[in-house]
Amino acid sequence: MTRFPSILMTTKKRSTKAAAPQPAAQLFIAGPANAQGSPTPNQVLNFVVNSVALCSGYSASSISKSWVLGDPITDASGDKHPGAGLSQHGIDICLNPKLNQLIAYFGSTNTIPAGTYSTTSTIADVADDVGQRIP
Amino acid sequence: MNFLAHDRPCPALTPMIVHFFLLLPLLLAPTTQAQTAADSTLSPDAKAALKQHAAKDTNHDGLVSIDEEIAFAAKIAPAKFKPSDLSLPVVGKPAPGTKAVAEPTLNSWLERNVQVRQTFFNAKDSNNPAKFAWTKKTDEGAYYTVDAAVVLTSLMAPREFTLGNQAVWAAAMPVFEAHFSNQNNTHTAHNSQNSLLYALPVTFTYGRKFSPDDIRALMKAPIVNEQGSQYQTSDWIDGGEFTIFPAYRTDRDADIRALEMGVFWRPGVWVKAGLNRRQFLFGDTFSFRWDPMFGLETGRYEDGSKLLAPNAPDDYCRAVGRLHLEVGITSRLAITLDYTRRYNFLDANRDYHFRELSLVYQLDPDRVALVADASGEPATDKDGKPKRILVPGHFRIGASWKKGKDAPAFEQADTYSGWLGVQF
Repeated sequence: MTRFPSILMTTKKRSTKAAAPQPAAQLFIAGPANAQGSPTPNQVLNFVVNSVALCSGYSASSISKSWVLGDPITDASGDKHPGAGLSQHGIDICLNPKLNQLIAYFGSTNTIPAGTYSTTSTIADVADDVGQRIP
Repeated sequence: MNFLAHDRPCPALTPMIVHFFLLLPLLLAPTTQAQTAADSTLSPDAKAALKQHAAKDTNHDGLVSIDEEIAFAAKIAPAKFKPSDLSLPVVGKPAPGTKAVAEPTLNSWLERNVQVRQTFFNAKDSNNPAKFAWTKKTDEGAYYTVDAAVVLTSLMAPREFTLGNQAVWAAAMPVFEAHFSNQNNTHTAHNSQNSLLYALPVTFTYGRKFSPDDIRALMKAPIVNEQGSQYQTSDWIDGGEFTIFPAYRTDRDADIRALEMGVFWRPGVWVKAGLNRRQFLFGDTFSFRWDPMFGLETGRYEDGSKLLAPNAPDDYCRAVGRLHLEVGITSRLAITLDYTRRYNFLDANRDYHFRELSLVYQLDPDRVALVADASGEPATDKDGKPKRILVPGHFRIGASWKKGKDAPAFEQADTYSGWLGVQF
């Protein structure tokens, strides 16, 4: 039986079509690519946020670095993490191929296999990992 | 030659008749002469048959009755033999994506390229470590046990090719499982095991192909699903995955060698329908998410002991459909439904259904509490801020209903169960 998250709905549902960008979006202002042609961390983060938005239906501007890929959780520090609501299959089948296209675009073959990210991975975790895969 | 085919009438009678004719010359001769002849003229196979006959003939009347045959079969049979479900292995590291920096050490290489677990074909055990055990009881002989499964995750990391407007990522992960034990069997339990599995799941994951302009735009700023943006979540299914799953398994205990093949399809995400993505209804009151799988599975079994393991499957070619559905009601009540249907093309009467319905309610909610220091007072971190910890709820009640027959053994299930879970 699948374990059901008890704090599934501790956060309010986000609008799927946010009218106004949230302050979190200001974190994602893109900088120029570095001299090696690699993306900046903010560019990777923007791509990750947009990919999660495509798979989850939430507006990209409402997604912050603390979001998790699955259902909302409260971590051991008591911090609440909103969630994109994806299942493990949703992550492996919808999200990973999008991120792999970014990795391949920059010439890297260090692509993401299934199971690399879980429902409790945060956007920041994913962006860090994707950035490390691009030389 | 298989004398033990269980689909023949009165299967236990067949080996009895065979043994009877094998031993007829000996039975007609005086006992001492028969023993002498067995020792001097019989082939090793005939001697083995004679020895087995003696073991079966518990009342020493020279004949093996049906009851004696059944008793002997129960004594030595791997009655609990269950081949693994051919469903997809449970692979993947359930951990944060961030990894340690690669180092020129064996540990570092293994961390990045290999998964080692107890098994990959049982969701309950797929997160347990591989086990190599040697056990010695004071009044019994020692035995060893090996339960290990290995996946090479990087033999072929996802590689891209384009099919129409879809980017397809092909990946392969060789799987090897070994389960050994020389533990003694008893009349009530089959403890020994001797099985190997070699498999090579190959996945083809597909999704919309981004152009270079798309990638640059998606890196520039958060634009998806914003007003006026050309990048919007699909109204239909986004992505999917085909898996080809060849496997070869041996089980020397059960005298089984099997060649198996599966082809499965899983859809990606369909936001509006709650497919692989939680969908909310009536505010936060109801939510649901579902996950289907469709496929074809076929296998060829060389099963030399059907009588001993009557539930072991025969050759098969089955269509399979599986649905997992989760429904959340408020924050603490959940209903899950798993339904599987298999249709065996090789036997029109083999239409298997299996459903499991569960209702779970968490009696007390998770709570965030202050961490206590050694004196029982609230602990603080180096900045003087109070430390907090998430304390999961302790009590759950639930009920489950299982009905039908499921792979691999297709044993009939029709059970209701209720439970109270306590965890501190």
